[in-house]
Amino acid sequence: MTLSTIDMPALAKRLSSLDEVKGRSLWADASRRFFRNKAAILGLVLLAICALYAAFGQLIGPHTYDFQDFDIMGDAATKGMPSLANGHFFGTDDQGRDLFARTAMGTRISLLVGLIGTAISVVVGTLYGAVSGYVGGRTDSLMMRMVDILMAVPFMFVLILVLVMFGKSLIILYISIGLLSWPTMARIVRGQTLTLKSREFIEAAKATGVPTFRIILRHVVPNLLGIVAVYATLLVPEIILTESFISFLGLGVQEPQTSLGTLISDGAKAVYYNTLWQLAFPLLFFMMLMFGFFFAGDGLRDALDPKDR
Amino acid sequence: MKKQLLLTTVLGLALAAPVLAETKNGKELADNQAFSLTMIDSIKSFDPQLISSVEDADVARSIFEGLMDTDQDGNLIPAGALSFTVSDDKLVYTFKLNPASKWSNGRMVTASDYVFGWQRLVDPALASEYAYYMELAQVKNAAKVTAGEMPAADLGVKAIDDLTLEVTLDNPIPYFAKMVVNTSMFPAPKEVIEKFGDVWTKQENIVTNGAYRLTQVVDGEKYVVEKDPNYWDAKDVVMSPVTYLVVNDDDAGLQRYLAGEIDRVPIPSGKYPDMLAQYPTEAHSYPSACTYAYIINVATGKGSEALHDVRVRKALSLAVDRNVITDKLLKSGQTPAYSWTPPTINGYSMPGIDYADMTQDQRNEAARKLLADAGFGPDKPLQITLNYNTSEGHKQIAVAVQQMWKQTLGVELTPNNYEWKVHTDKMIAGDFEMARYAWCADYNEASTFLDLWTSYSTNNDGKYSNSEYDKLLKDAKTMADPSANYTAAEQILATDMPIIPIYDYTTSRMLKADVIGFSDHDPMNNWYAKDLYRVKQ
Amino acid sequence: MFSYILKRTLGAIPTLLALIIISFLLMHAAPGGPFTLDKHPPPEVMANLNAKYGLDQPLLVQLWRYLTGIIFHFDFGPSFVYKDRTVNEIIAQGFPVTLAYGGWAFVFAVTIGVSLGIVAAIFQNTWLDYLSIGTTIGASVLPNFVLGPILILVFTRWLGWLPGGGWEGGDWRHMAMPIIAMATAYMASIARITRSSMLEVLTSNHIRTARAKGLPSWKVITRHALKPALIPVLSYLGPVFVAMITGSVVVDMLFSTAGIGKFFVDSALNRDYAVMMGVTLLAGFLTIFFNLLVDVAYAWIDPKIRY
Repeated sequence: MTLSTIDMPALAKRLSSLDEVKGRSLWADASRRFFRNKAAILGLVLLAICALYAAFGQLIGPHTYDFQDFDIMGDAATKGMPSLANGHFFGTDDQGRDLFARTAMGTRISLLVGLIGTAISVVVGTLYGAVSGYVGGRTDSLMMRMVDILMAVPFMFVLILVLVMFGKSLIILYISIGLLSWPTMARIVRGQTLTLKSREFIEAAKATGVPTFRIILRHVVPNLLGIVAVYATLLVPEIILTESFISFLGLGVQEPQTSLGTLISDGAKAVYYNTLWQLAFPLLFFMMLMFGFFFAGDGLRDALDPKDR
Repeated sequence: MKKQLLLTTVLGLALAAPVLAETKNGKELADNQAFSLTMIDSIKSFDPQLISSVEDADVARSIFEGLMDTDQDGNLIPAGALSFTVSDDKLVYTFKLNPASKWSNGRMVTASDYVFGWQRLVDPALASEYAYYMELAQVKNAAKVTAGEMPAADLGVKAIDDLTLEVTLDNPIPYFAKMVVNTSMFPAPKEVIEKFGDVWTKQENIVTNGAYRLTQVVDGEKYVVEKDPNYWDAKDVVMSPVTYLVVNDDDAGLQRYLAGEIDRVPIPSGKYPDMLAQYPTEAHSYPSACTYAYIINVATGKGSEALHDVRVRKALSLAVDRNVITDKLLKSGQTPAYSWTPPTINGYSMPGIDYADMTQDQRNEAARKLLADAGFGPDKPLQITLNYNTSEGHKQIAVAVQQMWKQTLGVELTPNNYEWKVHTDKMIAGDFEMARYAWCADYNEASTFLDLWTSYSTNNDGKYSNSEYDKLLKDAKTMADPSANYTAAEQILATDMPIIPIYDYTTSRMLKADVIGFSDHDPMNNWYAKDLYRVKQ
Repeated sequence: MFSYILKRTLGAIPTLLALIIISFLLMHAAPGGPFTLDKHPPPEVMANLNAKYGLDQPLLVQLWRYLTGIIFHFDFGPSFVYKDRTVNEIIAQGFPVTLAYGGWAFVFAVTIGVSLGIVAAIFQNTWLDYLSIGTTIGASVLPNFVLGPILILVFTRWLGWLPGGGWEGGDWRHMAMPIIAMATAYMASIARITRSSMLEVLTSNHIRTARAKGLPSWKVITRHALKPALIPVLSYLGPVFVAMITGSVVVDMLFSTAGIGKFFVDSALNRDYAVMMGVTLLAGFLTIFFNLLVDVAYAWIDPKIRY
């Protein structure tokens, strides 16, 4: 086709009547790619199941989470088995308490602890690590020495003191856990930042006079999101397990309330004593959460990868 | 003919000798006399005067020996001392020592060794946690020496000669002789301690006087003792070697027992009925002289105001269904406790306590009435807190009691879990309304329990104070037979209810069926390795 | 580089000092002490105990005595609870145990985790990717306090192949289960971080260039992709290694290994200040050392990184 055969006026008319081509934002792009990833969708589905159960499980089941059936108590191995008949869908624990309701409560509390703790870790750790890695020099040295100290300080005493100073509350628990895990996130982020800061696009930004903090927020952090997403989804199950240890010490979730970590650690001995349901159901939900976060996390990373186009 | 008779007799005896030697108490002995058992934690010290833990004492009793031991019924039998006499005023005890008793370095055990051991127990320089035991034993000047106000030489114990030990008491307590079985009253080898100082208990330095020698120490993992052939009663000692293994997890320990790795392990909480059903000849449970209770803070101006009302305290105690706790939660043969002193303690008879014989329904009824009288009920619920130290068992009991009080009385109990030190610190500071507590006997006599609630006791965290109670127990120290005072004291406790006793402990163990020698009715659980032996199956 | 290492090593001294002071103050701020016992010692006994262990001195004096003990004599003092042992002895006995099983667990976790992560990245979104990641997740999904009892049940009780606990000088049969319990805990996270990092590198410009130049795939991966991909992995491995060789309380308690992991928790719960300070310093030293190692490794991997 030569230029002379194109019907210019008609073409011009057609072009002007078309809608403006919408640019694709990072997020639209990412979500399209995310939803094309089968494993990621599976992950989301698992998380959704857990979330629904956590939110509504206690309303569905006929029993409450704290009522102890003294009849079942002495003999949980035979009388406490899961059954549809007596309404104990997941069976009972050694004290005759309904596990369906307790697992629902446990999933809810653990999910909250995991998410909030991870969120704090991500925000604090990413900012700290990115600033430290980018600014470099003395500041970096100082900031990393503080991280070294924080990693080595006996956290048990920190927890005990927090308990003594602030009393028991779930908020304090969330914050304490978040504050415990950010140093490793900071180190990972700093490592990545060190590599990134010698890249051309950073040099270009510096050359055009973009202020330091803008560079960190607009150019460094988005390129870190992949690794941050992956590590964040690792943190959630880790925090859930750490919480059970902390509650064991007396800080955090108090009886008769419970958390997934506590249910699992109480149920761990069930392996020896033929009351497998006490371990199986809480562990099942923990596994769903883990798989869910891992697959969704990897999917998120793959979706956010700026070069995978 | 005579020669033949002699020969056959000699031959016959020679052949019979091995058979004769391989029996004990009429039973044939097994070839393998090795024994292993578990400890929950590493040994804190081998030094008899520094020991404060029951398991460390178990080990110390095998390698050291004191004046007297106890038999399977808890009665005194000779050990380092052959006999003793008491003066008419009951203030002076004279022990005649066993001349065959030797230290592992060959030297004879003398009265000065006992004097040295007892003096160092109260020596401020040693700073033993158990130094107060000498005071409890009423040995003259014990308190003053511990406080540094008098030199150790002024302690009421003297070596009259190498084989005669004389003890002088402040008060003529009738149970003094029972107290010398404790490891803190064992003798100590002066020249060894002076030579090596703090490291005298290292395996290569230690010198012992007991039935066994310490042959192997792997810190944190295991301790092996073997029979000492120079022990004065070595001919009766059969079991050797004895291995104490550190096993931190009871459930794992049970699995190892079932796999044949260990011969004696504790049975994890709540598993006794299953073990008894599956292994009836191996599962054992016997009473132990400890009581579990909730202490109420009755100090003026402290704790919960509602709990200062005796009717409230009584109601709460009545509404605890102790049988549910012992039969459904603990399940190891524990017994409900209605008195502070466990009934198994020697020479103690429980008073008739009214609510001990009621049915739980009757108790609940009485409780509701009492609580209503005090002004609480479903429309005005009683709100109180309970402190307990971190442990699966304490948690389960607290939660069960919370349910019982809620269902029966509409009480809102908040159980607060505190880590052990914080819990103890709060109790000492009086920062609690109700606190979980337990007490184990220091010696086999009721005063070890009852002295706690005197107004002058350092362990009376609830600050209960009753002058009549104080008087009864002070007088008991000088009476020939104080049991009437003890019964009266318990009656006062039941009336005032400053504590809510819950249950009496048991010791439950899995033990290989061929091992003989553990007593199932000694409340102090004072077992001696030298009493053990394995029979042929 | 050498001057950097020197600067960091010198910088470690004030860091450790700060660690000692902070930990010391934290410990003494917590309620209760080593002699806060169930059977409360009477005042005269308490006085003797405090005098013997120097607890009746003002805090700063105690801190000073402690510091001089460490700096001049390398002596961490006697344990407050284990009366027959000094802190030096406790660490000398427990650390080699934890180092042994933690070290091996690290080797297995890293080898398996990194390999599977690389495979998953190269074959992204294929069944090989899902299988690799799925396996590591499957291994890690059981927390070690669940996996441990299962291992004991299977290998000690049912099969009788392995002893259920103890250490016996590091015999492999006693190490096997602690290693498994420890390694599986970290495999999934190592694999995922490796995969993620590898993917970022594989799609970068210089890899595309290498491929465009016609380099064979495997050469591209080993020569050009692997090194830069390791940076986040190393960042993660630094703290992970320290965590593994300072041991796990759960593994130590379950398998009664007498390792040092248990002391981190026990000494805090017992308020055994001396042991607590000793293990804290050990952890601090290891953390500083391995973070320095990782930082040096960054510079070796990426020549553009300057300090």
